[in-house]
Amino acid sequence: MKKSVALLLAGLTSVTALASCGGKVVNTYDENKTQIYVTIFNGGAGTTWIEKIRDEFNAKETEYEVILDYGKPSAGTIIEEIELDNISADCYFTSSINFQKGIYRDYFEDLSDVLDMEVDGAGNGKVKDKMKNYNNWQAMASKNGEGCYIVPYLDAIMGLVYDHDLFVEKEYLSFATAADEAALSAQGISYEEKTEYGTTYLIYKSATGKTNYAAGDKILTAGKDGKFGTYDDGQPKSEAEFDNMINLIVNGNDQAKSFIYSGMYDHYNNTQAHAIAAQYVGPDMFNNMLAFNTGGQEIEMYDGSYAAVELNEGYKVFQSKGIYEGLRFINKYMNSSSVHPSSMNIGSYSHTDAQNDFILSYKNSTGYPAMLVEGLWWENEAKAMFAEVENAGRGYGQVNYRYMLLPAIEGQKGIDGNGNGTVFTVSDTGGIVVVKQEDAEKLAKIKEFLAMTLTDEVMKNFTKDTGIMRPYDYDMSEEDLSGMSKFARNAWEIYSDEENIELVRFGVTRYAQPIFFTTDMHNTYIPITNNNQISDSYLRVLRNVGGAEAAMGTMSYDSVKWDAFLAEAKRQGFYK
Amino acid sequence: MEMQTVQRKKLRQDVVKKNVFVWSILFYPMLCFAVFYVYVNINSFIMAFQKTDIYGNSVWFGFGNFKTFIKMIVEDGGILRISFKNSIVYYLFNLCLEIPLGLIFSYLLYKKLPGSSVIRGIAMLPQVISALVVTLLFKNFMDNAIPAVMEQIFHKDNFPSLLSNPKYSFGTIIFYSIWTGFSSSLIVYSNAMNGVDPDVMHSAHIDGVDSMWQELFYIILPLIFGTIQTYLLTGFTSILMNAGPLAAFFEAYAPEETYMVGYYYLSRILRGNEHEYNMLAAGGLLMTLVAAPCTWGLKKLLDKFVPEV
Repeated sequence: MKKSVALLLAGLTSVTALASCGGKVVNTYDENKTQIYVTIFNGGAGTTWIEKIRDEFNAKETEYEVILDYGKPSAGTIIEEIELDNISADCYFTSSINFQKGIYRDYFEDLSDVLDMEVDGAGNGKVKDKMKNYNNWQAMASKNGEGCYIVPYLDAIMGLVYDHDLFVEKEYLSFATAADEAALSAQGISYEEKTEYGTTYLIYKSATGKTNYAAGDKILTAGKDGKFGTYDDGQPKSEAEFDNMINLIVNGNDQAKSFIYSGMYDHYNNTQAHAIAAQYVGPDMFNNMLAFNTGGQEIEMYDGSYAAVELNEGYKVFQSKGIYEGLRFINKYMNSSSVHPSSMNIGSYSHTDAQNDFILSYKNSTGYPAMLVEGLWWENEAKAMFAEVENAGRGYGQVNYRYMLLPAIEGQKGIDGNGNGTVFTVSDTGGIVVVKQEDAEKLAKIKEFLAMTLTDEVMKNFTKDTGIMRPYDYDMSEEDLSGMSKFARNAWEIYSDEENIELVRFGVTRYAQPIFFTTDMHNTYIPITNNNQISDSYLRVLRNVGGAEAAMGTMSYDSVKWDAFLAEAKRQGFYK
Repeated sequence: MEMQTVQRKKLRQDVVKKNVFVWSILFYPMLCFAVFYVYVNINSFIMAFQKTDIYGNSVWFGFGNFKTFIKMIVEDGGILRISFKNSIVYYLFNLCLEIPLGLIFSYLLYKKLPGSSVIRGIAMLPQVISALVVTLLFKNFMDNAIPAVMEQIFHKDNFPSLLSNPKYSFGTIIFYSIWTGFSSSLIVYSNAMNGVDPDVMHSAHIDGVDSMWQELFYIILPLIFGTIQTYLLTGFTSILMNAGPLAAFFEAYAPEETYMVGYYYLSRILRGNEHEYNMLAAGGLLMTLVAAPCTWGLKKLLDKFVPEV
């Protein structure tokens, strides 16, 4: 009896021990090899893609082996671990890029030589040649402009996700009419007319070029890109059309909810304010505004005047019309009573809760949330929930999710200076860092492993597996794309349309600013305050102060604070 | 003579053995005290007058951190001001509700009135069940169950979460603290009451104490005043340290309306913003300057007012 009780207890203990490890993989080590510990961010992008590379590396190496660990360490945690001499890995693949403190304190290796490698074979270009916006990145990842201590990892755009088929079925989108016939013919699209309940639709038959319609589909209006059969068909182009769509969603038969987002991380919505601000002033000017210097060019201010802003009065960028428009937009749509009520639970409603409610919303015929504010990673992150609804035909990749483009705002510069185009902000611009090494040979091997993760082939497979892009130029074949989810294909189309879409890599520009990383300037960009307190979330402030107009009068930074920031940055040797 | 030497030697050996035993027991707590109290406090004192730059160098900053901290308290509606206000409100609620309720219910248990074991069982539940489970249950109840009940039964759509909606959050936090803290005061007070000598009670009844109120106020409370005094003192000293259950519910991102001073500090550390550490150290020093004499004064005051039985 005693024996069986002891056995039972032993069993329970081991189960508890396993459970407390969170099912973490226990690694085995080759005693004859030197271990290279690599921690990989276990978030939306998952980790399976790197396991293949690890196996390949370990198979060819006789003296070194890569051991993978999974976690979610932030830049702050990694730097703290280094300072406490409690570092757990040699190399980190993270979703953070704010390693500046660690870079200036010599905690990380300069990876410039990795960026100079020709990882796709001699003559096929260096890594830095295929990096998106190498100069901006290098400015952010350097020490006083020298070296490059962070290698780009992810490039995840953030936006409004919707179920395209549902939107077509409910007629929330716009359908092509007779007025579009000439443009359709010019694009080589053949169609037939069909009348249902008194409304005439154009039904897709075939096309000479590529479209995303199948025979029998109702043709939608050309979106902001002006082409039929692309990622934005049927979507509203102007704010008035956007309002109309929201009205159909909220006040239609289904009484649906316009948006759902995480209440706990409602600062996701900040990205939409930044995107609107960038659309309004133009992406280049927005990047200037992130650097608190408009480069001698005048910008439209909230009070109707025009002014050029220099660094010594950098706080004035927050009084620009573009900033106001960004705040106004999210306040109008995301603070509305038509938002799903769970999103108001700011203390507890997580991003995964919002994802799950959005996925399961098909079960409700009314009151369902129509759009989810999320990053590109969400579909991959929610795979467990998708598995549960697979039998209903709504599993991973089965639903036609798409990104809804932000509408054009009246008076905006757009991406071309003429009011056209759409901005997406990139939220997760993750970075790869290597902790300072004493053994030069081991460091060379770590860099070799890093190089293996930067080939076109690996990037293609990464995007195929996760639906997430990496900030490098690489092509995806039709075959590659056909293996991806519908949502990932939609995102790839958006990502690849450089003519109509501009990505603002907010963090890359922001973290390059010494006035930001040398002072206690708040992490949140636009310093609107509620009770003198800057919040992580613009929405919370807007909600409490009563809208964008009121919020414009609550900016935390004034000339006194700004002078103090600037003096502190100068004291540390910057801006001299 | 030889006998004396042997005895002295044995005595010395005993003293050495005793010392080794005592020091081996004391060594670890003293080491902890030296590292986690003495070192931390000295370091905190130094940090209060410094600031750190991007290269990791700490430079003399005079009273700059103190000025910032005071400015944040003085600023109308600032987060520190909210935190101080909430800390005091939280303490007063606990003082005015939890202690009297705890005493009354403990007395009822002590008197073994009908239903007292049921009350004890219900009140003890939050203590018996893991704190994590209680927190999760409460959170789900507030965030999901109540809105669902309001919708299904009372047809009230969009009923807010009483925990996560900032309008109601702080009130709910106070309720939760009183509810979960109630059981521990029930244990402590009822045990103290059980320690009262039955002969004292018997003689009190002979002397004319004939109602339960008289028994509670004139006999029981004065006899357990030492316990109440401890509660009052520890409660007072924790006003500026108390983070309540905020971290359990919200981790580092509680609604600003619910902040208390203890949680303000905790959240800053959890968020790991090194820029603020020096200012926090200065704040800690300032709060000690205020809290230490107040605590000492309260102790003196309570010592003076020990009621006589």
